[in-house]
Parts: sequence; structure tokens; C-alpha cells
Amino acid sequence: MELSSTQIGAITVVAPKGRIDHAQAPLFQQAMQSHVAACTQEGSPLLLDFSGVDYISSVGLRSLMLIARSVGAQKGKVAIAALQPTVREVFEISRFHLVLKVHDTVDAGVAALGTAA
Amino acid sequence: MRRALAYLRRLFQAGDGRPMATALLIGLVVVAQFPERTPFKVARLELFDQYQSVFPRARDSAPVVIVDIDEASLKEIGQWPWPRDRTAELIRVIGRMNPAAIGVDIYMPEPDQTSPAKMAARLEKGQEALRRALMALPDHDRVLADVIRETPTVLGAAGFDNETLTTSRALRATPVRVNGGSDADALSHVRRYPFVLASLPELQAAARGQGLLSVDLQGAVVRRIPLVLGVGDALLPSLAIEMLRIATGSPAAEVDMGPLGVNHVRVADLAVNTQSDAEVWLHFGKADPARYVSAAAVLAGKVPADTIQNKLVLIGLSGFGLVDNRLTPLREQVPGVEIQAQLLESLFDNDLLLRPRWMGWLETALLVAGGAFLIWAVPALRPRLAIFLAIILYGVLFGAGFATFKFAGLLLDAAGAFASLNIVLGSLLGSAFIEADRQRRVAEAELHREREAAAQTAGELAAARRIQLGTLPDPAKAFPGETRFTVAALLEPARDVGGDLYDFFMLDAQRLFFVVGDVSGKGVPASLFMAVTKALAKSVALRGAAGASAIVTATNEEIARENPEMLFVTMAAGVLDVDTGALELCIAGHDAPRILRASSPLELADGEGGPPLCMLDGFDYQALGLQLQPGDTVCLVTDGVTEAMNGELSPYGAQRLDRVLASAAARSGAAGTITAVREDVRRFVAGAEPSDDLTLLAIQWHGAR
Repeated sequence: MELSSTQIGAITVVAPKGRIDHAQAPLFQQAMQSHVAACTQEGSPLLLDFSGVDYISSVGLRSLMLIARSVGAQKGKVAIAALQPTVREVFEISRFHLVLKVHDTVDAGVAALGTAA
Repeated sequence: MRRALAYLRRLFQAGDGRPMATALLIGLVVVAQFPERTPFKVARLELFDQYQSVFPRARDSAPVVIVDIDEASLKEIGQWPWPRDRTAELIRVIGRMNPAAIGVDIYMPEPDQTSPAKMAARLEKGQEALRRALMALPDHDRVLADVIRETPTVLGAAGFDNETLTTSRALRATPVRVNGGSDADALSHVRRYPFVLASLPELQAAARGQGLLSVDLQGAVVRRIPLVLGVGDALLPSLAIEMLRIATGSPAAEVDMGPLGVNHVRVADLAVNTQSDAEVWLHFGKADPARYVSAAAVLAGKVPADTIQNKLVLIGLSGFGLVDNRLTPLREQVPGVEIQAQLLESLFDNDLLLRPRWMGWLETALLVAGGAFLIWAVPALRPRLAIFLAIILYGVLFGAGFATFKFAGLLLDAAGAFASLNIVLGSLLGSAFIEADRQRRVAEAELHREREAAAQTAGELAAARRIQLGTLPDPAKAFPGETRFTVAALLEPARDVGGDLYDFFMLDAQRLFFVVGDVSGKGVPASLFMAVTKALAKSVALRGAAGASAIVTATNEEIARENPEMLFVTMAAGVLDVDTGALELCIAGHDAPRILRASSPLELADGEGGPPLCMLDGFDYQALGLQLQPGDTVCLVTDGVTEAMNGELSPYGAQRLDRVLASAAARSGAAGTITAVREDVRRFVAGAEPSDDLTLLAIQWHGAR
């Protein structure tokens, strides 16, 4: 799983690429592990930049759910930004914004996470 | 028998076949120590012949002339045996041309029957005058003896193992002197005959010397020739050695003894390395007519003196029917006299072959080294590479054999080593084959087990599939005699078992509950979670939860309580009042249900809903209220429809679904809706493997009837 991460201020922006489907989801989850572990109350908030993700399956949603739950458990903050239309559609159908805060752009996400801190 | 075979196989299998091959090698090394008894003797002699065929001896100097009593001579002089005065004449003519020595390859054990005295004895009475005249003539044998005495003539004799009328026990010859040992010592090593076939005592007495012509054949081929032999207790020279002695005027030939037998045979300043039995391996040249002059030509004075002068002259027979021809290692038939000529040439040019005693040790060392190499290499390398290396090894072995022959005149037995190494190689390859065969059997058994296991799993999965599909209600039988609504449903798992579900049942006399769900993931885990979800939803609904939103909210709480795998399930549930057409829909992260109105275009019944079940604990799901008109149909799908992929991996999509639902076929009742969608999806994927379960549920309300 291709995964690039950058630091914008206190916020870690992680950008996966490609499809998060049945085969890729476990790899995505694995690649996210260290970032998730670092996303604690005192640690850096996590923003998932999904501009590079063109498909997500239900198994991919499960991975996002697990990330959200882990971060929630350690009182960290996580959000997702810049969804492509196909992914946005999946989010809308599954009401995933109720699980994970969705922002239109990375900048918006960074700003939101920054002010909340 | 079977047990013996199994035991043999174990022997070959042990230690990659190395112990077995090592045992064979040791046995072969032992066998190689008995060169005359080894089964590879024929191969060895054949190889030695090949050496000679490839590198025959060149006739460098021509010290030997054969005066040949050939067909032409018989035609000229008459039948054989000639009257001995003719033979005497031949020797006299030769003697006049000053040869170095004359060797007579003819035995004359009986008196000449044509001598005048013999003829006189046969005359009738009354022929006294003729008798007297004959008696006055010289005896042929005496004439011959006189000529022999005047010339450097050596008579040939032959050793015999059995006594005959013409054999005797002694030969009047100059004994060979022994250096470094006793006569008895020398006699114990050389070829020894109790009897000898020799010429008349009168002739023997006249000759300068006598030598033996005996040669033992190996098979049918002449390979080795003795230079010194024993007759009784006398150590005697061969004809060739004796001729060289006479030619050089030496007092006697000599043998040098070593601890293991004869080392050399000496004449004058010539010392010949021999085998321990005083034999030499003759290096043959090609048969050559230039060695011969016809006896008739000699008698006619047609042979120039320098043909004979200072030459070693052999008188012998080649006439048809007179002699048995011998086979040389070059596979040529030659008269015995030519073999004597070739021996003399070889002695003269010092071009003899030798197989020293240490050659056997060298061959043993080569065998051990080659065998050890094979025993190391063959199990360690792939068989093809091992055979390739073995071929190189054999090439080196035979190359060494030919090179040793060519450059040192030594006979290296590469054939014996080759045959022995092949046995070792065969044993090792046999072991490798047995091992490969065993592995193949193991692999086959493994494959068989895997297939059985797969078949068993497939059987269990098939059973699970039957059970899972069996838990789904059959729309045709669920509501017998129901006229207010019609239900149609379809569930096609992508694999044997799936994670989709549908269900419908009456909550009470007028409320129909229906649900479609999709568990994240696939296969057995998803199917188990699906079963749990379906059962919980039903139990929650029948417990009397009021309305769709209450049922979904309660189900979420129930499922989330025991979900170690963190699976989730999307769901669209509804409650239809089949008397009034009032419809409640509650969506948990699921595709929006489609309402097919008789009066208007397609309608998406989305509503607020909530996330999939198990995503958020304690979420309060909200329902959406609708009013159906008679003839309206509610259609619920899972993403197996919208995300069905064709060969190019593009999804079927919601738009395509909406288009087919708007078609007339889809509006021809609940079953028609299902069939239309299913057919359209099938056309779209065009045989591509389904990646997700596909579920369709359609409910048409006919109104209160």
C-alpha cells in the first residue's frame, strides 16, 4: 500500500493511494498502524487525505471504522478530507460521516483539526 | 520376494545411495587386483587393440626381410614340402648375399622322404644300377646341414604342452644367462613347455642357434610374445632374440631378474623392458607387402644383394593352405612369419609396449579417485549435471589412456576403470531414481490428501450454503392466500456462502416486516455474522419493538454487544401496513430503497437513516414514512447489484439500476422486477466472476383487497 505522510503544523496528513478493496484493506490498516498509535490526546491529530483513493469497499470502510475506534479510544482526533466522487458516494450511502468527520479539502481538514486543538 | 525388493530399495536409499556405491567401489577395487580374472578383461584387451589401431607402429627402419615361400614359389618349384636340397639352395643363395642372420620359420623334425637314399630304398629289384647311382648322391638333409653350417642360420622350434611322436624333451640351443637370480627363479616366471618340436638332430647340430616360435593367443589375437621361454629345465631364447644374438655375435642372451620376475631381456647392448614373464606387448604396424620377397625370385637370382645384405632374414611360408594366419590387434590376418618380422622390427627400433606393474596401482588409484568423485558429486548435484561431469571424467580417463600409449608406449587400462565407475555411477543414479520415485509417490499422496480435504471442505461449504439459503424464507410459500401484496426475492452468494441477507415476515395481522442486509467481508465469517444478524433482527422485531426505527436501533445494540471481529452490517429495513399502504423505512448505511410508483417515475426512499450496524454504539436510527398506492413496488438491493463488475472492472452502477427499474418489464409485478434487474446485471457482467453477493427484494402492494 502506497502511503505518504506529511506534517502540517501539529497535524499528520496521511495520503493513501489507489483502491482500498478486499485485498488492499489489510495492507492499508497495517500501514496506518504507526500513525494511529501516535494519534493520542497529546499526540498529533490525524488527517486522512483521500484525494488519491478512487475506490473503497465495505472492507475498506471497516478499516476506517477500526482506525476511528482506536483513535477514539485513545482520545485522539482523526478526520478525512478530499474524497473523490465515488468514495463520497459510498460515504453518503453508508452515512460514514457519522463515524468519521469529513472535510471537503485538506486545508479545511487541517484548519478544523488545528482549531479544535 | 517383495521383502527382498524392499530391503534392496532401503539399501540403495540409505545415505543418498553413498554407502551402497562405496561398498560397490570397494568390491570393484578388490576385483581390479586380479587383472586376469576380472570380468572387464575383454574390454581391456579391446581397448589396447584400439590404442594400436589409432596409433599403429610406423615402420621406421626395415631391418627384416621375409623370404616368402608364396604361391608363386610353389608354382615355380613345386609342391610343399620341397625336397630339402631346394631349401638348402634357397639358404645358400641368401647366405651368399651376407645377411646378418637367417631365421627359419619351418620345422623339419623328420628326414626328407625325397633324399636319394630314400628313393633308392623304394626301387624294385633289378634296378641295381639306378640304386647305386642314387646312393652315390648326397643325402638332402646332409646337404641342408652343410648349408646351415656355412650360414648364420637360426632354426625355429615350438614348445608343446603334450608329447607327440615328433616332440622331444630337449633343444640343442644356447641357454639364456640369468642375472640377479637363479635359473629356477627365471624358469618359474617364464612360459614353460615340457616338450619341444624341433628339427632333425643333424640340422640342430649344424645351426648357429635355435629359438622358439611359440606364441600364446589371447582370444584369437596375438598381443604378447615371449622373448625367453623354458623347455624342460632349460631357459631358451625366442627365435627373434636368438637371431639378434647371432647377428651381433654375442655369446648368450641374458635376463635380468627383479623381485617380481623378469625385468629385462638383453642381447649385446640391447636391453628390452619386459613383463615379469619375459613377454612383450607387441606394437603392431600395418601389414606391409614391402617386408616380403618371393623365394622363387631369390632362387632365380632376381633379388638384388642389398635387399638381403646385413638384414635379418626370415624364411617362412605364406602359401595358401600351408599356414594358419594370425589376427593382429589391427584386425589384420597375417602369416606367423610376419609377426616374427614385426617383433624383430620392434626390438630393433625399440618400439615395444609395456604394462609395468605400477600401472595396476595407478589404475586402482584412478578408480578410487574417480569413484570418490562420483560418490561425492552425483547425490550433491542435479542428475543432468552429474552425468555431464561423469562424461567429462570418462573423457579424461580415455584421453589419458591414449596419451599414455602414444607418448610413453604404456598400456593404461582405462576400460576397466570406465566399466567399474559406470557401475558406481549406475548405483548412484539408481539411488537417485529410487529417491525421486519416492518423492513423487509422497507428492502424489499429498496431492490426494489435499484433494480429499478440498472435497471435504467443498462438501461442508455446500452443506453450509444449503443451510444458509434454507434460512431465507421462500416468497412463494411464505404468505399462502395473501392478496394484499406480493413478495419476490433473490440471493446469489459470490462464493459458496455469503454475507448478504434478506428476510420478511408478518409482525401481526397487518404489518409486514422486511429487511435486506450486507455484512462487510465475504465467505464463512461474513455468513456466520449474517446468520446472527438475521436471527437477532427477527427476534428483536417479534419481541414487539414498535416500528422500523426501533427494530433497527435495538438490533444495532444487540449485535454490537458480541462482535469480536469488528464486522459491520448495512441494512435497509421496512414495515408496511398492508391494509393502508403506510410504509416505514429505516436505512443503516445501506443503498436507498427504490419505490416504483405506478403513477410517477422512480423514487429514492433515502431519509436520514444512520451508519451501518456496529459502527456506532447506541445510535438512534430514524425512520422515513411513506404512503404507497396500490400497485406500487418497493425494491431493495445490496451493493452486489450496483458494484457488479464486468470484464473491464467497471461497476454496474446506480444509474443503470434506476434505468432498468424504470422499464416496463420491471413494473410487471414483484417477480418481474427481480427478473428484469437480474437479467440486466447478467448481461452487463457478461460472464465475469462475481466479486460480491447479490441480493434483490421486491414487494408490491396491491391495496387492501
